[in-house]
Amino acid sequence: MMDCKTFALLLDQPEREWTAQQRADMEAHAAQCPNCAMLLAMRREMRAMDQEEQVPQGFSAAWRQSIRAEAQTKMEKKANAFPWKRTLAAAAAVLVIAGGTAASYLNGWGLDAPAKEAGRQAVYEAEELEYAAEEAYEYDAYDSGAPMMAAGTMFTAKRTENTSATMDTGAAKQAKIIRTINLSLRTRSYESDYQTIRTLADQAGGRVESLSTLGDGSADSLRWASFTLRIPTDRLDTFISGAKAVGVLDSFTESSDDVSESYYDTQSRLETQQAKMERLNELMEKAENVSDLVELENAISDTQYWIDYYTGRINGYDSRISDSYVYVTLQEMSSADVADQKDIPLGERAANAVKASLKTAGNLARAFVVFLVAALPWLAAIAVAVGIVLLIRRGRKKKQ
Amino acid sequence: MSIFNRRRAREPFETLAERHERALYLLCLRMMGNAQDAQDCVQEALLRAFRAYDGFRGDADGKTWLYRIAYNTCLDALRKRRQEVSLEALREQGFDPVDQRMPRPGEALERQELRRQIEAAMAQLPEDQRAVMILRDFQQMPYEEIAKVLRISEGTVKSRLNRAREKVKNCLLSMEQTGSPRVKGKEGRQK
Repeated sequence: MMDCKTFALLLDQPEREWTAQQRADMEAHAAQCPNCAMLLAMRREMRAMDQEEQVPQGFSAAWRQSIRAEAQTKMEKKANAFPWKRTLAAAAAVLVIAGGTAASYLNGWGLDAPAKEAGRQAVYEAEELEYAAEEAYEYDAYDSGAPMMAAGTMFTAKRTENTSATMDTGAAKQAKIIRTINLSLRTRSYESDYQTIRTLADQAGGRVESLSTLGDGSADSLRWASFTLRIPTDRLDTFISGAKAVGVLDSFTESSDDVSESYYDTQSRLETQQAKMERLNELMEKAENVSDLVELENAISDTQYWIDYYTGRINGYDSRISDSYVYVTLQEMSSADVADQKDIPLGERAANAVKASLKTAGNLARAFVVFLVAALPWLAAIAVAVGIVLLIRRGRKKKQ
Repeated sequence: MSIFNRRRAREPFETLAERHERALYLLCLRMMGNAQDAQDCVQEALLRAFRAYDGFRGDADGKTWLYRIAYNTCLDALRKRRQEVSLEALREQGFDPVDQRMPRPGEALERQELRRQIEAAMAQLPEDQRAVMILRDFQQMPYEEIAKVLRISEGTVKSRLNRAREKVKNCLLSMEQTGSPRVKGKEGRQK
């Protein structure tokens, strides 16, 4: 005989799962137990109630209508509402594109070339000033006998005055010309062109007097080299024609400084001092007292100083005349430079323009990440505030 | 499955609602006690669900989700009804939701009486117990699903169901004996 507990357990299961035996046992138990009989009746009737219940006519149509009306309202609201999200997204896209393009332009397409030209001009001007100062120093020293005196405004007048004496004799002599070359090159293949310049200098029998380089070749640090070359004057033209073919010639200047007057004037003064030295030596041999000897020793010492000084100057001139100074700057081209280059194939220019844009976009993205990290504390504070507002709004909605 | 795929795989709202409309109506009918309020509740629930459907990520089963909204809508409506006028007061005014529905021809008188008694006894139950009983005994919903709909544990579902069954059974037995419903601690209505 089934007990109430087993009856309740079976009752909790769907009736279709009962076996015939279980059903018979349950009926038998229900006939004996009014409580369980009521539970069984309840259970059967509840199930039947739901199965037999009819959904009212028009029920489906009613809720569908309300849903569609809501959808219509939603669509109208959406259509009438100002599209903030889209507008903001479009504005952000425009900002990024415009910013990226502008940054690319500023980096290399527009202002880069004039800026570089201005920079180069400044370098040339500095070099010219340095050269002028050097000249002034030499002339000043020549004039006053005090080599450490600074170059002054009297320099030009003194130079004219001192050289005028030798004009007649120097005219018939060979002209002394110092040639100085400035070459500015840009290159797409920095390493090979760098080597080419060195090779050309070697082939011309010249040498690198000084060299300075900058940059490591990374995207943000383009390489740059500045050569000071000494090239024998008789092979200078060959070297120049070879160097001009390296990379892209950005600028070329040549100056020929005629130092004949200064050269022969110095030579004349040297000869005078040498003659003076010979006379002093002769007097020395004839000196009879100590005071004469001391005086002559001082004069010989002074004269020797000037002989050495003028000899050095002459040697300096000779060196600069026989080996010309060639200043070469080699600048690695950025992607933006390549994109701007008219004589480069269009495909390569376009590829480099894209590369430059991507680089700028990358820089912008990195800057944005840094900005985000910096703004994190503020964003967190804003998120907390927004969260609180949302919670309050949800609470109000629930109340409503 | 990513959020995007889940969203893409989501069925149109009307299809989902159509599949469960009858079950939702029956839930609301048993909760509210009359057909008109049940219809209003289902309509309101479906409207709420439609508004929230864009944010429904499909993590929960659509059926469970709709049931939960319908149940909450019923609770709101019952709360509102209590604020306006008590059910007891309505009954005193002669309002009986059970009697408002047309008697079905062919139903045995006895069964009609039993159903009337069941509905009357159900009306005496607290809402949380009534909901459990509707979902389990009327709609045969698995315990696990009931727990999800009501957001309670399965253990709580079972204990509430036992209490509800006991109360309804006692009420029915009492009505059989005296002809009036009597729920523990409460005086039943004398028809």
